[in-house]
Amino acid sequence: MNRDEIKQYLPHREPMLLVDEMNLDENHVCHSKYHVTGEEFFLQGHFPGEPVVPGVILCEIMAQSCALLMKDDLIGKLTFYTGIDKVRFKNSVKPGDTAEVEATLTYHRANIYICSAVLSVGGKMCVKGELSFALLPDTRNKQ
Amino acid sequence: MATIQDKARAFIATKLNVSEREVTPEKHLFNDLGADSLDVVELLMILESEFNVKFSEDDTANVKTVGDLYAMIEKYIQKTK
Repeated sequence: MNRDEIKQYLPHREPMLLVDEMNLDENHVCHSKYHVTGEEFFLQGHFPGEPVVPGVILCEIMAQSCALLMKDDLIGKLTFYTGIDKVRFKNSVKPGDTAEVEATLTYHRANIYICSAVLSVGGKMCVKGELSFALLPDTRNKQ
Repeated sequence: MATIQDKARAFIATKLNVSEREVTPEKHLFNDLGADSLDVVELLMILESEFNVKFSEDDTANVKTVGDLYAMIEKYIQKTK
């Protein structure tokens, strides 16, 4: 699935759409990629002369990949974080890197989804954690 | 020997960060014990794992109080016997 196809499911848009490509394998594991161009707004001041993708953005990259695990449930919904647990940052992510995420759904009940995710660059783990979300109705076009 | 309710009470107290003494059957999970929807989902996940059962969405939707939770757990454990 490419960026345009991803937009059919994820409600996020530029500059906060942080998944360039994804596929779901036969075990329902989401594999996604985000290419860090160096032009992103979040690199402008983080840090001058030493651009590093902020940890919260790495969590967001993982979160959007997790959300794609339930892509069919996303239609007409917005995704909201309900929790971030056991997050560990192991290595930094810099311009030119391709962040690769592997995300799995751990538990789902009602509109709450609990997932685990690992973000790596070139096979080296950068972040791992457990993320949870609520899907709530998207009322933006219903006024 | 700890009963099902004793075990469940300990899990509820730990998850909701309240004392076991506060976890009485008439207590409402949201209004009295301060739970939110994520707390309840995480609590159900723990209880399913600990008691080796899988609650249906219909049954969990009706759980409002600690007593409702005890009754549901006991019903599912009975089913597995």
